[in-house]
Amino acid sequence: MSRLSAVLLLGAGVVASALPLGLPPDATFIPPLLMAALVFIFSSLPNPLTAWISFGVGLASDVLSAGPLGYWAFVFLLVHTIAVLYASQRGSRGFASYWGVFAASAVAVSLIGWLVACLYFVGAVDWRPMANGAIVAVLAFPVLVWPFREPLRLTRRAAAAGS
Amino acid sequence: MPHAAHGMRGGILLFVLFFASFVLLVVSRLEGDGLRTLRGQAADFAAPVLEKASLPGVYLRQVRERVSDYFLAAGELERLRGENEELRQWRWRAEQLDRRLAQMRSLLHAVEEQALKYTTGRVIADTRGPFVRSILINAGGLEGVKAGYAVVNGDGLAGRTIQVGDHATRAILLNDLNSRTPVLVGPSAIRAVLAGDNSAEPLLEFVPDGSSVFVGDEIITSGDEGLLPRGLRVGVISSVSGSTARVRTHATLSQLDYVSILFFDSPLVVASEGAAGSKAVTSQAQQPVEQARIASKHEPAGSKPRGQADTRPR
Repeated sequence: MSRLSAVLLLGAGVVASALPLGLPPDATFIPPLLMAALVFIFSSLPNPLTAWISFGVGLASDVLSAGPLGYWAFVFLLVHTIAVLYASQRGSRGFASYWGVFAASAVAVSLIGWLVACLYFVGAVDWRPMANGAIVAVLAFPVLVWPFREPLRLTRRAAAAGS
Repeated sequence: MPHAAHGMRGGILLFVLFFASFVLLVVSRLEGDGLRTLRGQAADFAAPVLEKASLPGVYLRQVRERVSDYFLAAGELERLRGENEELRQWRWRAEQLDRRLAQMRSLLHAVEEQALKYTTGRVIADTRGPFVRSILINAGGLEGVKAGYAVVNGDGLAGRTIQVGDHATRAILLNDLNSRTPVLVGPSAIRAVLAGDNSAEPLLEFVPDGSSVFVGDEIITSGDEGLLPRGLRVGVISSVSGSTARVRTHATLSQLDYVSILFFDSPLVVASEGAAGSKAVTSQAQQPVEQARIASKHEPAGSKPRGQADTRPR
């Protein structure tokens, strides 16, 4: 998958996540955290996204969501960093570990995102939408990864060869 | 060695971008006029794309509604017949009251209330995140919209406009953390403030000491401070626990489709302005606010009629 296709896919995702989907307030974090999952996948491909692109996609999400500028840029950059660090490690490329790393980063990102939101508003904001978003993103991760299993070398044989 | 240099460059870039995110967050928190203008322009720029992209969703929703209408038609017909009977009686009573009100007004030489102009648009985007509950509407400054106007749908008040571009307007919803709306509660018209906290049901704040509010009490706008017209339907109290009361809004805030923006500048502005003029305005209510009826300008052909907003003061 080329970098341009990844950018186009992410751009479409940003637009789609801003559309009026009729989600209840507790589910409002699901689309951006699914986007975070895509950023994670595209950042760990052999031809990964650059940090600039992750930042730009986050900034576009900020603009379209009318939220504070820099918030989703920060979150996506965090996901990008974790994915790049993971991809740079040799071995341990089985799907379970890949999924596990994403789950851990989704939890970390949600927690940090919630803390940033609390700091921004100088008060405790509702944590449930963030938690719901993280849970759905982790559960949907295998489906999102499926089309990219070959370039990610997540097949059992490749995992065995790599380790 | 080149690999190490590349790694270091990447590290510096990441640091710069993280730092830029923080700077943007701080600038955003300060919320200057320049940033607001920029955001308005960005919304304007994105509006055509969002408008096109939201069309499949609109048609899917209409198909779903039609299918569900088809299956529920028999039971619904029976219910509507009963409701129609009841409404006829109410209509007769309303006409009677209207006549009496007109007589009283003429006896008192009361000043005519401001006529209410409005424009109707479609929700083309909504927001995600802990910060805002807002919508983007495909009507803007060129249609006469300004910041601070009330946004209603067929069921009641939904929010108010905050950023206005030429072709698109952003409105915060009643459950947004920054939303504060002066309201009247219940039959004794207790003054309070409806405050959003990003949850599904906003809170009632500043209820005067000694006054009681109950589940089921109707909430309408009070019109205090001249921000919103008085008497717009808002919702009902859904729960009271201790000193905390929550309000279930009549408008389903997570599923807004077509909304109307009421051009209400100040209670002192007289109705005559722009009665037959401006092309941008969908239509103008010829009677005072009591009779304002909201019709959709952007209704797609063949779609189900929407948006008969009851904006009558109580």
